[in-house]
Amino acid sequence: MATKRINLFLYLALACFLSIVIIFIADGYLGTYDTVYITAGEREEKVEPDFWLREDRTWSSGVDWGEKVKFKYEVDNRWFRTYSAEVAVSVWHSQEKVQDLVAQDIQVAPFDKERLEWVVDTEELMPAEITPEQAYNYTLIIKRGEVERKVVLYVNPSYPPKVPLPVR
Amino acid sequence: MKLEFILFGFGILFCLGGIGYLAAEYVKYLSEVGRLVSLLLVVAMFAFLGRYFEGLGW
Repeated sequence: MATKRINLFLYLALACFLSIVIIFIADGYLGTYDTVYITAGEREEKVEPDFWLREDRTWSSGVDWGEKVKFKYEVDNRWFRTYSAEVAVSVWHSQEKVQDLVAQDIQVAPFDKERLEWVVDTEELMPAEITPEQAYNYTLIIKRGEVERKVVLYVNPSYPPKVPLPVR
Repeated sequence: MKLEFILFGFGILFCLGGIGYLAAEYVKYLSEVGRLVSLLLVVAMFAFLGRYFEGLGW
């Protein structure tokens, strides 16, 4: 009887351990996760899925004037059913839409990944009245069904090279 | 030392190693409720293990 009672604690400890493993798998692994890759110049930034888990988080990235920024959006479907959603990407400034970049339906097979790519040309998006010496901001909004991701692009000003003064 | 105690030790170490790996990799993806429940289960697991070894006379 005493041995049975002692072994009961061992079984309870094992049950707690298995429960922890199940929680990590069900809550921490299973689901749909997205990763954003931003390539500006020679550097690539990777926005991990856990960054978006906190509410109202916005990623910020700086780019040079006239630079082309390459985006890669990866949807990782860690579930037993095919994941379908419409992905829409648009550029905004001061709460107004500037341009639609992507509007595409995706279907991700179970435990598979789907990747979308697009390029943002900062020079193309600039209003005519903005000169290269001025900084400018854009917000890139990625909508995947009900999920929304925001990336703020800070376009750094480009200063012309200083002309050396003539020697007298 | 009995072989079974050595095996128990290895088993416990591997379990802790497995939990440590899961914690490092996936805890950032857990919801707040999931983290709280996991923490409580970890405490309970060590408590039950302590009672088990206490019953063995350690």
